[in-house]
Amino acid sequence: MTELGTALRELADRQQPVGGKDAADLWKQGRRRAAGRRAVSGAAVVALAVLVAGIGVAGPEPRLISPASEPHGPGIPNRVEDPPGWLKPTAYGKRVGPLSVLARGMRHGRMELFGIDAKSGKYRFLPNGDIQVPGTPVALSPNGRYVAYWAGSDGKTVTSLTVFDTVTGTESGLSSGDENKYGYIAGALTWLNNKTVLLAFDEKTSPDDQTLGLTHKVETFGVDGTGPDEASVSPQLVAWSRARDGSLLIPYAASAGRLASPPEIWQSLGSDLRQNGDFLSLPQGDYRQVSRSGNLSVAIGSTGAGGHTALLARHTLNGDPNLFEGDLRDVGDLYVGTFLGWRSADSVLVTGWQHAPNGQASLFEANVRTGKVKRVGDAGDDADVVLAVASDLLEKPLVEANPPTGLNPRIVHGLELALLLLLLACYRYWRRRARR
Amino acid sequence: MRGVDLEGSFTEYVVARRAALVRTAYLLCGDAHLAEDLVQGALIKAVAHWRKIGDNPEPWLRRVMVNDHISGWRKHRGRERLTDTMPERAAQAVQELGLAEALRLLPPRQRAVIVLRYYEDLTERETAVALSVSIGTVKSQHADAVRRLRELVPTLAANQIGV
Repeated sequence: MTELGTALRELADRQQPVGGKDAADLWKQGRRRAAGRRAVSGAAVVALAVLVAGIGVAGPEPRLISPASEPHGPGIPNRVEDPPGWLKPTAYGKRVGPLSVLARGMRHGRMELFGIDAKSGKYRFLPNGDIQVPGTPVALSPNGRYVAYWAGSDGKTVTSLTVFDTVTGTESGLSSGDENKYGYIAGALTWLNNKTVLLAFDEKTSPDDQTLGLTHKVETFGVDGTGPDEASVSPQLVAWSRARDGSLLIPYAASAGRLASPPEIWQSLGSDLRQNGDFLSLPQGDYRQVSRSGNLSVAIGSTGAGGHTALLARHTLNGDPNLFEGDLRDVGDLYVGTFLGWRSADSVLVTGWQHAPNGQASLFEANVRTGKVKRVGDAGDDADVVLAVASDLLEKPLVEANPPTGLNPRIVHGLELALLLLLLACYRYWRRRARR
Repeated sequence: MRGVDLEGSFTEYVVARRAALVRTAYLLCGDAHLAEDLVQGALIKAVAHWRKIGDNPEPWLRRVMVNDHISGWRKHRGRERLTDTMPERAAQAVQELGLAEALRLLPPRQRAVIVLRYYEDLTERETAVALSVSIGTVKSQHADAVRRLRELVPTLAANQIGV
């Protein structure tokens, strides 16, 4: 040993012991510290795993709608989003229903149908739900289980009707008994009840034929595979449906499997609709519905040259939809995109804008008797994003929907956990520093 | 080793070697209370690793004490520190400094090299392992430390330091 070593030893020996914790305490403290470190490490691993799992496509998309609250159960959400920005690439669902909302959105450059699950609030594009012929009608059954839409192949011609069961994930193509080789011109499409869909259409006489009013067929199909049957329907049920191309199914189609003459199916666009009652004299009016009480009638249509698509109301007489009193009244200065249905004897639910078609579209509840309009939610980027709602849910309160986060909830939870760990670490560091 | 055996072995080691560890720690930091904290901190950390290091815990504990001391010095560098010596002592001529004060004026890594080499009698290689640095670094730190000590404590002759 050198002299320096000896000097150091002497120096070390001079220091007086100050005392400290005994070995048992140190052992306990060490065990606690080790357990704490293991817990923190485990939490960090879990957070990391959650983050990694969340980044993958296995995670669910943001849950937009809060769980349905008792006692009302599922309802129509008060907010409908255009999903492509945040819906994961594989968000095609075979079992997605029953639906509260049926809507349309761009997917991979194509317009496709998507639905919102009435219970979970999940958004799902329907398999093979691309709307190959834009503007063709789609219909959602009153209970939200079945979606009926025209399917086509070349972007111009519809060839068959498709009914998709959102609960089982099965779809069936329904074709007219005497299939037309040129395809069809889609007309009105509506659900008579939860089992039967009715459609009106014209058969094309050539590949380029776009003329309405030549063959006028009305058929019904059952979801159990029955049909086509001759339409034997209540006028009240089919009278007020319209096709987006403007054809109008009027009340006297009852028992007509094949309509014989033009009065039963109307072409509204560019036509004079002065036949059968002055209500139809509405210029370019192409849609009307009568309330369940039969005392009110509304029309969705242009009020004149250059006018916007408005919500117009009128009193009916004696429950006869063709007899009216008073003038048509413009309700709430609305720019209507889609008429979704009657919420009560006096009020309707529509999508659109009020006063001017600017910004995002809204959901409005309009009292057609008093003329009062209340904004009740958001309806997507355009007024016609929402195509239909499950009419059984119309009278229930709207369900509060959360705004989309754009982030997978697993990522959000992982970040929350990571933040918590960071705060814990900061707290421990601060305490240790304070102790010193 | 099972849990009870581990605790027994730990207790046995602490009882036997704690005083020696505290002395080493005192030389490293120059403060008795800080030395006790260093040793306790190292022993608490050692509990989680006792299964692995229990047979020969000394090198591991020494490394932890040195690293903790250097980390603490970095954190508190520039801050005021309470010592049991009067501030006026710092103004005294370097010739009058004792070894303890001289050690205190060395940077912690140089101090650690001196303590490990001359107090613990470690080789350069063992010192390098204890400090987690290369042998070259140990050599250079040692040379700098010795030069500084000679300046601070001229009474320590070159042959006493052993270089």
